[in-house]
Amino acid sequence: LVAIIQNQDLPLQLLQKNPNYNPKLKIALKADGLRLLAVMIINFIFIILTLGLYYPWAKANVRYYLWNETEMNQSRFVFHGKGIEMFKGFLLAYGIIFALNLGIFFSSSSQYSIYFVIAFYLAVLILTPMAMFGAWRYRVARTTWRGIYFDFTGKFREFLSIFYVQIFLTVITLGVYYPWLRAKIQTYLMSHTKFGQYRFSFVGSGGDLFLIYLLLLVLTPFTFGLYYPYFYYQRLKFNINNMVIENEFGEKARPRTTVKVSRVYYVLLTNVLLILFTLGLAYPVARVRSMKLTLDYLDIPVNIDSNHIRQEAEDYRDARGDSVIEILDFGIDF
Amino acid sequence: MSYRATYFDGKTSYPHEVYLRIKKNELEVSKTVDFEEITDVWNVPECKVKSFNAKSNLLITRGDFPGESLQVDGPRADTLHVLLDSNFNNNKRIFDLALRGNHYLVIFIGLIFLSILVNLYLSYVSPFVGDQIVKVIPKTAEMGIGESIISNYSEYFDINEERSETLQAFYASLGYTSEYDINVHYSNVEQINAFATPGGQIVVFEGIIDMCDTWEELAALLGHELAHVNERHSFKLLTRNLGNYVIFNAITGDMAGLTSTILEGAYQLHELSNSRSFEREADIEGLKMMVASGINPSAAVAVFKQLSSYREMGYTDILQTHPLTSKRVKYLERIIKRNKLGNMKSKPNNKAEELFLELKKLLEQDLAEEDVEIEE
Repeated sequence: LVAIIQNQDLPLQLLQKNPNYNPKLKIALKADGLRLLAVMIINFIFIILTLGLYYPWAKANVRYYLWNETEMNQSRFVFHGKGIEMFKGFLLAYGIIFALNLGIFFSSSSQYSIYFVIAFYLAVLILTPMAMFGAWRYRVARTTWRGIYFDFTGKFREFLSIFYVQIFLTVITLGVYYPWLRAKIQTYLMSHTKFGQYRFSFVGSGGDLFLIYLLLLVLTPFTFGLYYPYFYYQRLKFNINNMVIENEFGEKARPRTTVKVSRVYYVLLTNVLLILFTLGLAYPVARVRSMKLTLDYLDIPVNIDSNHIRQEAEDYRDARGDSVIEILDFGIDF
Repeated sequence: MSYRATYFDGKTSYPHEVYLRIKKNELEVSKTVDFEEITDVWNVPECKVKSFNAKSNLLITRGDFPGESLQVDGPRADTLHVLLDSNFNNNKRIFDLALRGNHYLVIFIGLIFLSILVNLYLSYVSPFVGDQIVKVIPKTAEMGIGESIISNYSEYFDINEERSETLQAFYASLGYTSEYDINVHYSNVEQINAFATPGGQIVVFEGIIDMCDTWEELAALLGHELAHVNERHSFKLLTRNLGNYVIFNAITGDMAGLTSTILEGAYQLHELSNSRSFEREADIEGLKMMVASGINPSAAVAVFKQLSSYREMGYTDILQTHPLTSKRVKYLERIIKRNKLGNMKSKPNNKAEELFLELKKLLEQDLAEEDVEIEE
């Protein structure tokens, strides 16, 4: 028995005969919105006491809590990021933007101001993809479950070339191309994400996403915003049902969300009421409730054996050349 | 006393069932392999607590990447949590209040404390920090900004160069002092308004010159604007607002809906009171300058009385940010009375009077021309 457990190269059929084989993956968010509110209030107090410098630590605290309250098969996720790491990225990005702004401000009557303006737009054009890429990698590489690290194998140069082409297309189509950009970037980020021997990928098409956005745009004015939860449901299905998980035998399977439209309507509409009647204080409660819509209704395919996920990630603290990119996780949520 | 726990070796996700025994500074981890008990000792100081809320679950790790981990579930996690207290990251302890303690109490007291802090911050910290920053910024930079505002918006202000010269000469004849090179501009726009940029550019709109009946009144107005320049008010307002903006962005970025609206409301109220206190300061400093130059300070009262009558008629936008004109008339009168300046007569200033009359005459000519145009 021990031999079977320890021999990780056995084919799936053999593993399935193993009594310890555990094909069922159940994810549940156990967070309590009011406890999250208490955490956020302490965060806000520190933010004011430190004149705003605590912000990255505050972000880390919220993540520690939410990761810790996400349970998969009786084990919790852990976020290993640190406030100080995010603080460096925060300083770097805001420092550059702030310095260039000051430059524009003080040179505004001289002939040099145009250089500062150009430098500012260049900085934005470089920092935006850095932040998207870095934020994703930071979160992925610092998440563990049962001691196994998630891993991100994307290359920044590759990402940049995709990003600039997509941005160019979005600009010349006056934004119509945006859903395709989103889908392309999501595909790149997901398909370079691994958990042990399991690889993720994403097959959502820009066309599908375009339709989802188009319906929202067209129907929102006629439905007084009541279409929004349906849009939310469609987007949730797009994000989850288009994911692909591939195991070491090359078997591909797709997770599915089992959430019902009625549930989405109920949660989102009551969230609006909650926020309105508490003057916004219940925001963390609402946030946890909508996160549950994603996490609590995941139907994960049986090609994963949750008890035999192998550690394959490299040590993220190894000197990776683009560590600057990684710490730029300062708030662009993708 | 032993606990049931789950051990992960950092190589696979396989859950090994183990028993934990706690000794002074050691955790004894024992598992049964092939009917034999194998015991491993974890030194407590080498362990790290990784879970953020240990009420019902606890995760302890040992070693660097990837490290081994121990998971304890259920009520026992809480007991063990207390034993491992010193192994928590420093900031986690205060969050224990929110996560393990009575979080309703944390929310209640925290909100009260937070609102006090926000108020203290807005009333004392951000003005202080903002003003310190202003002290560091060189005056030349300030002048550059003022000049660029005027040159960028000169078309919008419709500056009349010829009359600006007359107005500049009028200003020079008053004998006010400033560390800045003051440039006074005459705007053809018929608004009842005047403003000062950082670094010594003052724009006076035609409407307000039309409103002034005596040269002393125009002198009072320029004194007020000059005080804004000397006290670097617009720069201070900018730095204070920037500080507030950064803080509120950090908070509202994570909250949504009405909380941010309420916070923004508080922020704008403070912005308003900041600028109101600056106006008051400018009123008083302007008054002092008038007295120093031998100009009857009652002219300032007259100007603000005029302004308030225009305001009642809904004419002027001299700013919701300014103190209520009736209030400012009252406090100016009080200051004049206290310093027994009520009967002060202006030193004769022929030059100022002459230049003022010249400006008025030009204005009258404009009006006459307009009438002719209308008749035609």
